[in-house]
Amino acid sequence: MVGQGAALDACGRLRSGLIVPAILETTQVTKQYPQSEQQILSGVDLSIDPGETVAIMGPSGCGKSTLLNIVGLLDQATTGSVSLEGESCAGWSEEQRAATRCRKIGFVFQRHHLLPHLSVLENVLIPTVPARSGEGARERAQELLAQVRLDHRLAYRPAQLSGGECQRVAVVRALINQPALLLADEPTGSLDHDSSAAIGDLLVSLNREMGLTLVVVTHAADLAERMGRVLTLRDGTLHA
Amino acid sequence: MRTRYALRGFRHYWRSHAAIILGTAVAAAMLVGSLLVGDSVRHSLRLFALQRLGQVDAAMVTHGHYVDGGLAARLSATLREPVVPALTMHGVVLVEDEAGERRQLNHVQVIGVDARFWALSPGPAPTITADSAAVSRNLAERLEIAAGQEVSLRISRPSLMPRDAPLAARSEKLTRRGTFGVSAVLSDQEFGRFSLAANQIAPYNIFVDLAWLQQTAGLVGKVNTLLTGGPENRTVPLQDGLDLSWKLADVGVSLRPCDGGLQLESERVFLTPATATAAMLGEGAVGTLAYLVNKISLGEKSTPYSFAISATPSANSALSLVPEDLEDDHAVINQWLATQVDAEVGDTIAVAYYELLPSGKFEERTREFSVHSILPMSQFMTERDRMPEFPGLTDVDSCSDWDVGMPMDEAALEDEANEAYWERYRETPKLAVTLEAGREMWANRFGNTSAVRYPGTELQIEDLQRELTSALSASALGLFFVPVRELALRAVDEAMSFGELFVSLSFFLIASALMLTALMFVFGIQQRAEEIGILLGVGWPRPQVALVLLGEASVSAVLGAGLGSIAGIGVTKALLAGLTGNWQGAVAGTPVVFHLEPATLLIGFLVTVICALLAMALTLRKLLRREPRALLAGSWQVDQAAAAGRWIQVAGWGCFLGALGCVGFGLSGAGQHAVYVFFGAGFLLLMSGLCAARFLLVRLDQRGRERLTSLALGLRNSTRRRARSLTAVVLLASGTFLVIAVSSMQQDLARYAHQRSSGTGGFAFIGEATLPFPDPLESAQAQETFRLEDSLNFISCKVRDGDDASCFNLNRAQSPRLLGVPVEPLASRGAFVPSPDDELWQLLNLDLGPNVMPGLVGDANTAMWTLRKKVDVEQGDELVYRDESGAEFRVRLVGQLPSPLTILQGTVLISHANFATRFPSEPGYRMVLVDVLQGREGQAERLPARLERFGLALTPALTRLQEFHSVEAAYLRIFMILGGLGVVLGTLGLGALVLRNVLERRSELALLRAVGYSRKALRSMVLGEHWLLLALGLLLGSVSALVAVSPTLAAPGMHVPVAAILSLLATLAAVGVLSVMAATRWALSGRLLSALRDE
Repeated sequence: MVGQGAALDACGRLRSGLIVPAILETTQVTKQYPQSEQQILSGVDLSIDPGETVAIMGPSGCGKSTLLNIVGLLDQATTGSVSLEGESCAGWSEEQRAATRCRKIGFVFQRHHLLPHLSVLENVLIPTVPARSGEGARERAQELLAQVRLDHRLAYRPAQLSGGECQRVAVVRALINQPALLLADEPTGSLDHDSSAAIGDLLVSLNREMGLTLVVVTHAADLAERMGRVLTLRDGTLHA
Repeated sequence: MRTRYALRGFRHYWRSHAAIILGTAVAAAMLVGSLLVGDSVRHSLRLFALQRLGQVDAAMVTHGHYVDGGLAARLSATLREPVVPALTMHGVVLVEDEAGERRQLNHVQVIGVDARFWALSPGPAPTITADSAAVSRNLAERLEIAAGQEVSLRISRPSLMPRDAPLAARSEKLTRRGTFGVSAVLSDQEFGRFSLAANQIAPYNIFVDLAWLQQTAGLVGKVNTLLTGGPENRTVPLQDGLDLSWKLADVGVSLRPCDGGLQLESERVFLTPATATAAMLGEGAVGTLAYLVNKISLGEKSTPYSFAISATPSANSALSLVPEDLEDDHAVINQWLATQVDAEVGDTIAVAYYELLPSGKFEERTREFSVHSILPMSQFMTERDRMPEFPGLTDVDSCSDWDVGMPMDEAALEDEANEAYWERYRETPKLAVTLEAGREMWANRFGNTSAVRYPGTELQIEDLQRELTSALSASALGLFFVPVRELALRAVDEAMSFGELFVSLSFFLIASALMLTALMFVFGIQQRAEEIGILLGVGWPRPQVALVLLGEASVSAVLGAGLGSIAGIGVTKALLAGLTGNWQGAVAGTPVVFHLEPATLLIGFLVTVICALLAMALTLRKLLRREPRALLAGSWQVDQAAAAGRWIQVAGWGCFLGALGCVGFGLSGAGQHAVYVFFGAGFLLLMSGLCAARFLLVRLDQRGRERLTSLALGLRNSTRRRARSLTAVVLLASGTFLVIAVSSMQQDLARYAHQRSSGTGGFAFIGEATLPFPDPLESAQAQETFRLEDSLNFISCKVRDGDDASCFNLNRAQSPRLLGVPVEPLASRGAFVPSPDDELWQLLNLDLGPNVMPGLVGDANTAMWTLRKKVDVEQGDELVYRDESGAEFRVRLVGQLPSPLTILQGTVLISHANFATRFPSEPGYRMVLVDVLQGREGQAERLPARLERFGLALTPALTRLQEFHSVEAAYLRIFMILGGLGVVLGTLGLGALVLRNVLERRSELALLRAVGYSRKALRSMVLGEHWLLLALGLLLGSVSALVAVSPTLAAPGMHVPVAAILSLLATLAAVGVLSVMAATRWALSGRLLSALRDE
């Protein structure tokens, strides 16, 4: 959706010229779990432009992952709205949300969540099944795996890989359907320094080379520093 | 520390352990329940055996002949213990109610007793007089009578001289009737169940006054049963006591003065071979054999129906008409005969006579003799008083009144000259030949000597008697005691083990429960893989980890087995309730009482604990082989393509070929091994199917790699935990195997009942008479006597009572009932055999040497289950019997009627000829097979009325078959229910597997959901995975079942109920599909994606 004129976005930043809608936008998002009296998120406004890289930081338990799950359509906000590419996700069915996740969003979790009985290549191809990505998927997967230097491990099972390698496979899996938005939840949380650095390099390079929008939840300051924008979640709201 | 660790583990993982406890409890309950059924049946059989025998320890029963009742008193004095005489026979009891309606009960055991009998009874003596009788409770209930009411009793009137013997009277009234007031109705505890036969089914008994029965049956002073109570410290062995006590008179043999000396003779006309042999050893003994010949002729002249005598050639002309020099082809004739036929010395006369064939028919033969000498009538007249007494012959005035068991020419009987001879000389023989020649012509199965003469006077009688009794043993005359109590208890001990039977019936269920236990255990252990990895990682040795985990599991196993053992008592009571209710056919209606042996409970408990621990140890072993790193990393979860894959393929093919071998063996006619074939082939097929299923899963995994789809992902999931998946497949397959196998074994008896090859032999009816009818119903004489229609064809059989070896008798039959059958009529009809050309019946004519005769078992089930004997012409098992003279002979089981079930179940068939040889005195016929022209069944139904006095019960052959089949049907129903429970366990296992798989992989499924898989796609994936296992289980179980039962289905009269099997399979599939759906829905319910957050 393309509009004209200048406007302020939800965060008060001026957009000019052709108005390109935010790839991701949240308005007054709150979250309270049924069994909990505490509100995890209390009115989060966030707008992320296409190609932007954003790091969200904050102390443990502040709601970073919850926010990421909400914007990634893995969870629903108690109140407030989420829009993707200018389209509100309010009222979407489970299946609509799943289809959107499949086509537009890539996820990288703290743990890789690779299926242990499948090979590296098969794990990468898993999202292509509901997306019906066709025959090119296998070649694309091999290319991506080559980019992350895992082309020699195509037939390996996850148990035969190192933690860093598993996480690289998870990143490739998140990219296989060519999403516009990549969400990473502490992608280096369980990795050593070198592996963490490698994953950081990979994510940044993906942004540069593919124009991928990147939202990373992390505790790692060095990774956060490599993002274009760093936001801190505190007391249920985001702060620049 | 280890104990505490195990106990803590047990407490912490109580949910997992609850499932193990449940599985173990089911296994223990079924095992203990089955074993206790065995205890209860055995206890009940023992109870019945003791009730029917009371204090009786040994019994002497003289089949077909009678002894003097005084023997009991003499034997009692010798042994210094009570010996009780009784006269038992079959009878028919009739009652008439106030409305004039008459009820009749056939096959009643009539027991003539005096006061001595009740000393052997556990209860008090009832009042029994000539007017009053006591009856057993079952008889009273069957006829709906009570004490004080009146009953009529009809008995057969046995003849001292066997009715089938040549010259035996036939028109003698065969039955007698008496009326009694019922003085008491005796319960089982009051000796109402008295019987000497090893059978748990209580006979219908009526106890009457011994003297009355003797009088009415024409057996004054005679008995056929002696009973002893058997003190433990008997000083004189029973048989020795008998040898010391018996006298010639006891067996109807007497020595009397006669013209010229002494004569030993029998009231049964013919001396038994043993008696004759011993008697001929006496000094100067002259043996004789008298006969009635049909005609003596010379050229055109002849005289009909004449007595003839053969005697040992002797110089003592006072004892023998046959001179020392008489050759076997010479004869001495009297003057009257010489005159009648114009015979002179040197002439050749022809003697026509009847020979008694083994079939009971008479065939006329002629033998020529040269006249050696012609003696005056005075010399021949000395024989008149020495001739045997033939009732119906020697006691009538005119030849035309003769009543003998041989066909006679009425015109010849009225020959005037012969009539005149009869009037003047009576039974004086007209001709004498050597004993050798006489025996060649007239010897028959009843004997070859009618008297033995000795020189001497009356004073020597006692010495001669003493000599004879010492030369003969009592047992040689058929007087021998049988240790009935010992045999009864042996029959109980050797009876079919219901414990084993029910363990076999519930084997698959018990195995399924144990597999389920192992599955639950493995679920629990796999959940704790990381914990095991940590223990191994921190240095615990593997055996120690195994010990701790098994120790923890043993708490569950002990608890489960304990609870299950207690529940097993309930299972037993439920099974017994079934056995006295819907399944009562399985125990032939026997009221089985609950009995608990603590040792059985303990055995069931221990076996279950051991089996459960073994099953769990096997699963644990596999997990403990993993490296700690793999356990900690969770990478143990994927089954690698096992290196042993090739060996499993080899094993699979081996099992398959073994199963084919079993089936081939079964199809080749090894009927007696059908049960082993069934279980062997079934087990091997299940195993080979399991290997095939494993192979399929591996292939699916490989194929799935080529193209990734939702379906392929789902199917490949089932290959991840092959052992787990295969356990579910086996669980389902076992239950399905049982249910399909049982349902395919349904016999449609009616469908083939008209065929000769079926279990009915193509006969429309089978008749069983309480009292023997004298002539075979197929004979012209019987057809005339009983006015039998032409539309009916008969095959009459002789019956020698013995143990019922049918499925109605739970005891092990020691001496099965023998049927004497006519071979040719059965063979020519092709009855009971696949085709009329079949040679099976001819086996009964085989000559197997002295003292062995061929026998056929009444059907395949009798051979396999009741007798448990091998049948083969060369190497068949042999059953030992005693003939009526007490001599042992063997019946080799050369074959069996091929149908699993026939109307002759429980019997051993021998040829008429062999039967007659061993049991010549067995009177008449008590079984008849009836062929009826189509549409004339009504005529057959009139038969019982025409043979009412013989208590003939006519049963449609199909009904008889169905009665026998009810036992099998009851077992099949039990099997079906247990198989159904097996399917339930299999389904539970599959459901548990679904839940476990989904819960275990919840984060994986959440990931799939996160990357865009729809809920429907996930559900399809999970359903596809588990439906595959369901399909494999059902397919494997049903194919294995159908192949395993194929030998049984190939038997005559069997057919595959395709529609029933398909509908059953559809039901099983539907139940499985629904349970998988329910488990899937439940497992996937809730917010799956939260699993990603819970990482």
